[in-house]
Formats: sequence, C-alpha cells, structure tokens
Amino acid sequence: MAGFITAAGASYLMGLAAMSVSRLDNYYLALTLDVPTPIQTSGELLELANDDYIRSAIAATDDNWVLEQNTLSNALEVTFPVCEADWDGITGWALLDDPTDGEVLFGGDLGVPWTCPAGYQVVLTPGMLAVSIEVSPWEASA
Amino acid sequence: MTSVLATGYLISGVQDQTIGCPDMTPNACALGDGTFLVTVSTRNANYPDPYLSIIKVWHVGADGSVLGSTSIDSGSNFVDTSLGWAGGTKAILCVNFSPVAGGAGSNSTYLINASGGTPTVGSATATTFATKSTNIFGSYAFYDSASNQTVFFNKTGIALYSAVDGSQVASYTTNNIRWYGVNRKPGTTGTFGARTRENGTWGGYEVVLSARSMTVTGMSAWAPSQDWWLLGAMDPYAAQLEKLEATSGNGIQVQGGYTVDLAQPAEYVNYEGINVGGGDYQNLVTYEVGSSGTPGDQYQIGLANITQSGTVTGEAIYLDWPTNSVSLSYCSYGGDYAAGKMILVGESTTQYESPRHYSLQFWVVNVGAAVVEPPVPQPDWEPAVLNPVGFITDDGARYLLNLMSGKEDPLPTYYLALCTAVPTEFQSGDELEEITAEDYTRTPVANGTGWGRQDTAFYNEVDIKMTPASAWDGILGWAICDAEQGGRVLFAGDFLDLITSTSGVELKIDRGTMGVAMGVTDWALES
Repeated sequence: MAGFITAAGASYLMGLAAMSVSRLDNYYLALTLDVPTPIQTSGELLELANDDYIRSAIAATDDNWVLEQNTLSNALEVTFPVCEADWDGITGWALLDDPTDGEVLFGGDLGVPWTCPAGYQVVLTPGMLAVSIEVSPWEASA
Repeated sequence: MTSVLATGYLISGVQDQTIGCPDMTPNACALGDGTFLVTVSTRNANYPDPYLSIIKVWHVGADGSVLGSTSIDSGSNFVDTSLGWAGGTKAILCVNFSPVAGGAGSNSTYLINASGGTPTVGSATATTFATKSTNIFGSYAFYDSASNQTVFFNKTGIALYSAVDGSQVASYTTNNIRWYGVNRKPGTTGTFGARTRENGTWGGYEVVLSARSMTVTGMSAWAPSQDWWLLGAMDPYAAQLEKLEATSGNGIQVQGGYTVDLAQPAEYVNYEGINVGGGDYQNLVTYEVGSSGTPGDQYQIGLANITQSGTVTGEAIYLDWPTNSVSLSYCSYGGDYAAGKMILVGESTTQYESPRHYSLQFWVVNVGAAVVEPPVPQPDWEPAVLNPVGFITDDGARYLLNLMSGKEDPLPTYYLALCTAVPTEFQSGDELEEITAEDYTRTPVANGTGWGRQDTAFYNEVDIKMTPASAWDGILGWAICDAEQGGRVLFAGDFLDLITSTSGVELKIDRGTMGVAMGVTDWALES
C-alpha cells in the first residue's frame, strides 16, 4: 500500500517544518473506489459509501508509526469495522486530516479492486500503510 | 517503495536572466526578440512506436505568428536552419532519448542555440544537476520514479542550457521524466508535459502555439475519463502548478486563479495568471461544457482580466472545439497584450487496463507579447547572494516524516550554513564543506517567524544578512541545518552564482528566495 503525497500533504509537511501549522492529533484512513489524485479534496474523493463504513483513525503519535529510511508506516494494526454487507470495489486509499471531510494528505493504490465480504474486516497489518518522501532527484544521474 | 516528490527551484523575485529576456529591462522581452516554444509528445500519429519521443521547437515572431517549427525525432536532423531564428534569442532544449524499449538507444544530446542568429547544433556532455551554475529562471523540477510502472520513456533525458551563454546547466536521464512547473516568467514561453501511454491506440498530440493562442490537436476523443484542466498561474513560491479545474469526470471547469499586479513587491512579479471579474486573487468564473461537445462550437469560459500595474485589460478565453482538439485563445477587446499571460492546460487520464498507469500532462503557454516589467531593483550591497535554490535532503525527508508522526517536534531554530561545495542529499552537517574563515559561523534563523510556508514551499520569511569580517571566498552552496555545528542537513541547495564576499560587506538573502518546494505526483503509485 505504498502511497504518494498530495499537494495538501506537501503543504502540511512544509507547514509543520515552518511551524505555521500544528501537528494533527489523528490522521484518518479512507478506502476509496478510485485512486486519489495528487490534487484532490475530500469532496472529490470517491470514497466507499457503505452505511457501515467509517474512516479509521490513526493517532499522530510515535508509537503508531515506524520510520525506516524515508518511509513511514503504520506500527500497529489499522482496522475498519466488520462489514455488515460486502464492501465492493475498494481500489485506493487516502489519508486525511478529518474523520468525515478534510484534506487528502496522502493517497495510494491497492493495485486491483477488491471486496471485503460481509462478516469480514479490513485490517492493515503493521507496515502495510506506507508513505515516503524521496529526496532531491537533481543529483540522481550524470 | 513509494512515491513522492520532486524538488524545484524557488522563484527569486529579482534575479531574472532568462530565455529570451536576458537583461530584464522593460520591454526587452518583446516578441521581436523571438520566442521559442517547446513542446513534447511521447507519441505522435506518425510514429506509432510508443517509445519514440517527439519534440517540437516553435519559433514565434513578433506579430505572434509561428514563423516555423522543427521536430526532433530519433533519426532525423531536427534543426531547420531556414526558420529564420532571430538573433539575440537563445534556445534551451536538449533532449536525448532512446527509441528502443529497454535499450540504450541513441542517447544523443543536442543543443539548439540561436544566439548568433543561426541555430547551431552541438553535443554536450551530460552533467549532474549539481553543476548548474548559471541562471535559468523558473521552476524546473524533474520527477523521476524508478519504481514507476511506466516505462514508456526509456532512458529519456533532457538537458537545460543557459539562456545567457548557452552553456549546459543541467541534464538528466531517467526512465521517466516529467517537467513540473517550468518557466513562469512573463514573456517567456515554453513548456510542456509528457504524455505516457503503454497500451491502447492513442495518437500523439500536436501542440501548435503562437503568441496568442494555443491549439491542441490529435487528442483522443473527448471522454468522461479524461479531465481537462485549464490552469492559470502559479504560486510564486511553490514549484507546482495551480490547478484551476477540478472536475472528476466530465467537461471543463475553470475556477480559482491568480492575477499579478506588477506593482507589487519584487517577489510577486514573477508569476501571472488569469483572473476573472477583476481584482487580485479572485476566482475565475466556473464554466462547464459538459461531457460532450459539438465539434466546431466555441465556448467562452469567462472574461479574464489581466492586471498589470493597475491596468486591467479585458480578455476572453475561448475554447474552440473542433473534433478532438482544443483551442485556447485570447480575444482582446481592448489594448494590446501588454501583460504576460499564461495558460496551462493539462489532461489527466487513468487507464485501468493492465498494467495500470496514470498519466498527466501539461502544456504551459504564455500568451503574451511584450512584457512590461518594472526595473529590477538594484541591491544596495555587493556582492549579492541571489537565487539560492534547494532540495530536500535524506535527513530532511526523515525530519518531515518525524514531524508528521509525532516522533519529533519542529526545531525552534534552523541554522544556515554557507558552503564551498554544493551539499548532497546524503551529507551530514559534519561532512559539509563550509566556509573556513575564522569569523564564519552558521546563521541562526528562528523558526515560526523566520521561515514560512507557501503552499508546498518552505522558504525564508525574513531577509537573512551576514557581514563577514574577512573575505569568504568561493561560496557555492548552502544548507539548512538543525544545529550550530555538525548536526543534520535538512535542506540544501546551491547559489546560482559563485559568491565571493568582501570584508565588511553585507551578504543578504532576500526574503522568499531561499528554500525548497515539494512537488507532488502520482506517477509512482505502484511499485
């Protein structure tokens, strides 16, 4: 579940570095029916619409995240509610700053659309949710 | 692996040595100097091989007409000396690429230089970006994602040449190139995005540009899966495009945007945009043409007012909709094209066939004739420290992610180091080649007040001043560190000029001219 940063995410990180914004208490992982784009608002997100679906909160605390190299990943399981009915067409994900609305900070692609059958639960094991920043490419080649 | 990021150059408000306008005097950028428009397509209807790249260089005359154009492909000569390239103009493009999937290809490097009135073609040796040493205005950022599944560009490369002396500034070869935010300067033209497509039957694009209009033909049929973006304006500090259209499916929508008032302080003069309804920073009107158009119809998006030093010129933007093409033009009903105007058009597509890929392309067109700019403010000190441009280091990337995850709090102070060699992204503070003069120390700049964020850019919010007691020679690079000595290098970059200070003479880095901008992309969605 490797992801990419969005414009809002980049702005957020730069805001943190410049102390112009405060760190969020929580991030919220959304499951989407399409892959988010780098410049997209929550309102434009094609999010799972099942009645029993809600975004999963991940606290912005040290114990919830692991940093290896330039990749930040979830240290603990990220769980969603047990599906009461099939969750169909899950294709992408988005990490947002709000449980229901907000900005898309990171997005990603699940590769192929898949379904969480009724009675099952979407669980992201540690390391599955990963975001990273690549450093400057200016000196990457001669 | 993942995604993210290309770094870019920050715009400097005062240092403009640029293509077609080297001296930055008022009216010096008239189209009479000649203007080059550079377009790129990864495919062309005439070249079904998906690995071919087509590059076109367009020469625009003073009256806005296209005097000629020339194409570049893998096998042919690409400079037509009959084009009448105007003297005094400079070309910027160098491309090497391979026409062979997975192969090394020709990888030839070419320089087009029309400075002598006649284009010359030469070869150049690729160098790294770290060696860029002259001033090319604008925000160049290349995106390279080795993990991206798109391999349509195989060993594609682009090099940039100085508009001032024709020397090579930067080059890059990669599996995947994306130009991201280029040349924002009013009066200059060029640039483009690259389109990728692995499967399917798309033809390439022919982009015809003139000083006042742009026509894109050869598009795939208008379809709900395609979003067209009309963009106008860029943030002065961010190396990213300002997206003005945000439809998720059909049609065209225009919203948002900036205009520029050239009477504003220097740091704001280097971008321009489209504004509707008058006044600065007002949104464009929204206009949707729906999911299907009628060939031949013309759609008026809205009235665009370009503000320049308080003068508002009414303009209208039209979308012309012949079959599978879009034309954009300004239809002035008052006055000449005094202000530089930029239109950015992009198309995003998402293909769900296997392997899935995504493409995003932009064309940037500066629809403007003579650019009237205020005189460049002359610094009250010599020598100047100008145009520092930067990138995020390895430690800087981790620092940002630490901030996000609560592993670290923002530093109360960043320390600016001056270096005799441009730092690399993996250097520590101890490894920097800093000034060795006895009176040299890193300059602390308080966070919260001394640094700012503008969209995706991090920059100095205040002037940074240093007064050496002795000569500090050979200043080439800079680094923003987390400690007064040693420590981590979080952001770094190079000055585009070699700086040599004189004892007792102040060095100053103007507000907003130092920092880094983070670009975003979805090209590395899968790895």
